[in-house]
Amino acid sequence: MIDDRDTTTSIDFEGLVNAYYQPLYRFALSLTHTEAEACDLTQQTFYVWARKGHQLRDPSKVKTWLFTTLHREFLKGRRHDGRFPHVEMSEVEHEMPTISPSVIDQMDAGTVLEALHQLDELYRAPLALFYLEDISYKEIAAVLEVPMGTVQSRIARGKAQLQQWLLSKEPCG
Amino acid sequence: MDSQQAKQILGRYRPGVDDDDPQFAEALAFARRTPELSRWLDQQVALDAAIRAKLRSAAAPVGLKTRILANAKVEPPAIAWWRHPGWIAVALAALIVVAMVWHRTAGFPAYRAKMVAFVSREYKLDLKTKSFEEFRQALAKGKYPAISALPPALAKVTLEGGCLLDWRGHKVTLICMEAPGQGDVWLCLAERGTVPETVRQVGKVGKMMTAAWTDGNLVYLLITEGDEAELRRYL
Repeated sequence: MIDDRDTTTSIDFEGLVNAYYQPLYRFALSLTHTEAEACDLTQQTFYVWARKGHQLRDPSKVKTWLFTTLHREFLKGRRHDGRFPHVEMSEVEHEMPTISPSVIDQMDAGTVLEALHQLDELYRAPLALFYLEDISYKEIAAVLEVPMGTVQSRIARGKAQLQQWLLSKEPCG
Repeated sequence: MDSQQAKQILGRYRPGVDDDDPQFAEALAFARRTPELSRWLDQQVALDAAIRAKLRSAAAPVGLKTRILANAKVEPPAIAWWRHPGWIAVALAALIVVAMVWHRTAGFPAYRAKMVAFVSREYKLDLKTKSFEEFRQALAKGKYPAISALPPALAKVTLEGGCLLDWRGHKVTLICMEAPGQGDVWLCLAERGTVPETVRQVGKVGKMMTAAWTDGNLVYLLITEGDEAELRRYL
């Protein structure tokens, strides 16, 4: 159980790791391509917490802080030109490809994860947070440091791409 | 709102997570009234749940937690250099030194120096009288520090009057007297607590000899133009 009353001084570090290392790892795994990279990213996040976590004044934001830090660390290791297009909702195809939940059930987790990795990088993080973390759109926007409308449009487009890719992997017959 | 618009919104809806999010309320209400849309939503929710379950099934490798705890040893929050105990001690010591200097400059010596400086210059008597009783009544009226009678040792000096002075917002009475053939003698009176207190002491300040003491509710400062021997005749 995490003591959310204060930052590093009163939050038990091991308790913090216990509570968040799994979800952080899953988020990292959805962003990166390998288990090793995801582990490094997760470790780095907690390392940053150990050094800078005391600067966090609002203990209720520990979770958002950790996910934001992980995402920043991920972006640091990526070359990107900073010209991510702002995709408006009107551009998103409204009709999702049709795929049955039972098809997903038959797939292994690796295949679904691979589908996530096939997405444009722009859509991967918001979609991972959408599926993995059960955090609000407002929190997702905070983690990714983009406007809420951008989060919504990226999730919509990302879902369409993901389902399309999964549909292509649907076993025949 | 039509079905396309509702689908666009509900495609992002997560039951149990986004139920309180107002952006979905209207679309959800619309879906409840539209069977085809409702079926579509059920399928989308089921599909999302299936994908979510697969993604969440990924577990961190054994040993990751141990590595995190080992590698990210919690360092105590960086303490600003000025908050370091050593520096705090240095700062306190410096403060004590400053306080001592302040006491020397702003304590009793400062008060004494100011009074000596005042009588050393040309000044005008606020009350000119040779009657001590008249002088005492004037002081009482102005609520200035006063004594009922001059000390017996000062009985031979002649009262000339007095000045009403101020020491950092507090009233000080200056009694001006003349010792025949010896020069002027001054006695400063201040209420205890309004000027720095002092132990009984005799000292020379510039060309003046001074004696100070505290008695009852008053702090006394006697100033003469003569030497120490003369001063002691008035004590």
